[in-house]
Amino acid sequence: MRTKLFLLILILLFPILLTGCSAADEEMLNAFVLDYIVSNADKVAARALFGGSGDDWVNGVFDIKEIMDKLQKADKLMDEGLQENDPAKMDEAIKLRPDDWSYRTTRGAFALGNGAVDTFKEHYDHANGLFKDDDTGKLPYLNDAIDQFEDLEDRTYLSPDGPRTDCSTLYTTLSQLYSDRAEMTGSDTDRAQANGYKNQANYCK
Amino acid sequence: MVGGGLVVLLLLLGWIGARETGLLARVGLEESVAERVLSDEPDRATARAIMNEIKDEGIDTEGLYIYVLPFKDSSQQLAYAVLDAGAGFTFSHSGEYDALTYMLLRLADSEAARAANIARVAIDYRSEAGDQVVVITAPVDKLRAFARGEIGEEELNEALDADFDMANAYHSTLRWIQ
Repeated sequence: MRTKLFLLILILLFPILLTGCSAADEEMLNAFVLDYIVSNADKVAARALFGGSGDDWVNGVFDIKEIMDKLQKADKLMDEGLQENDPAKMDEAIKLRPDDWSYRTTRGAFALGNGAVDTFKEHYDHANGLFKDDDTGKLPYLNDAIDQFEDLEDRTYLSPDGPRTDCSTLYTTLSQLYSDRAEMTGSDTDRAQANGYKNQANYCK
Repeated sequence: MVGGGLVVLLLLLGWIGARETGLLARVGLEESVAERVLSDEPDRATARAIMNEIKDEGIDTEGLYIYVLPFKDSSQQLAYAVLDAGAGFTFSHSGEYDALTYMLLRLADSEAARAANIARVAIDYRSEAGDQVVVITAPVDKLRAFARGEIGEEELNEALDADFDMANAYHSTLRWIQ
C-alpha cells in the first residue's frame, strides 16, 4: 500500500521535476519516466527503499556523476588550453587527472612544438611510466601518441610559420613509439616505420 | 551484557546504513560504487568514433558529450552520453523510434560500439541549470535484440533502469504546495 501511494505521489509530482528543458523535450522525458515508473514499479521502489538495485554495474552508472563531472571539467580545460594555446589551462587539467596519458601526450606534444624539450620529456616520461611493457592497455596510448606526434610533424614541416619542434627529439620519439607498438602487435610495417624515423632522427644532427 | 550487545548491534546497523546510503564513500572512507566498478580512464578513441557516426547521420551534436569507460576486471565497457541542455542540447531525432530510444540504440548499435565491446549504455540528461534530471541505462544485448525485432517495447522497458532525483522532486513539491 505504501509503495503504491509512493508511486502515485511520484507520478503526480514528476512533471515539476523537469524544469529547464524545452517544452518538447520535457514532454518526452515526462512520458518516458511515467512509463518507466508504471512498468518498473519494483525497481523504483527498490531504489527508493534501498538506494540501489542488485546490479553493481547499474549502481555504478547511477553513482558516476562525480567522476563524470571531474572528467568533463578537465576535458574542457584541456580543450580550451589547446584552442587558446594556453599551457596553464592544460596544466590545470593535468592537476585534476595527473595520470591521464592522453593529457600528458597532448601537453608533451604542445611543449615540443614550442621548443620546450624538458617539459615535453617530463610529460612523455610520465605517460610511458603509466604502463608496463606487456600491458595491453598501452596500445590505445601508443596509437594516440603516434597520431599526435605525426600531426605535430605535419604542422612543423608543412608551414614555415609552424611549430618550433626539435627535429631530433620528434623523430626519436616517433621511432620509439612505433618500435613499442611493433613489439606489442608484431607488425612489420610498424618496425619498418620505426627504422625510418630513426634514420630521419640521424639526419637532424 | 545486554547493553553491550545492543551497542554492537546499533553500531553494526549504523555502519550498514552509512555504507548503503553512500555516506562512507562521500567522506572518503570507502570507494564509491562507480569507483569500484568503473575505470576512470576513458577510451577516447571509441567515444570519438561513436560521435562521428552520430554526426554522419546528420544529428545535431551540440551539448552532446560521449564517454566510454571500461568496467574494471572485465573486457567490457560502458558508453555514457551526457545530454546537456545548458550547452544547447535538444532532441533532434525524428524517425522510427522516439528520440530517447534512438539515442540508446545509437550508442549500443554503432560499429564503434561493437568493436569496443560496449556492454551497457547510459544517457544522462542535464537541465539548462546543469542539474541531472534523469539517467537511463540499458544492457546492449537487449537494445540490439530490440533493433533486430527479436523483443518488443515491453521487454525493452523492463530491461531499462532509470534514476531521477527524489530529493529534487520532494523540494519541488514543497515549493509547488507553497
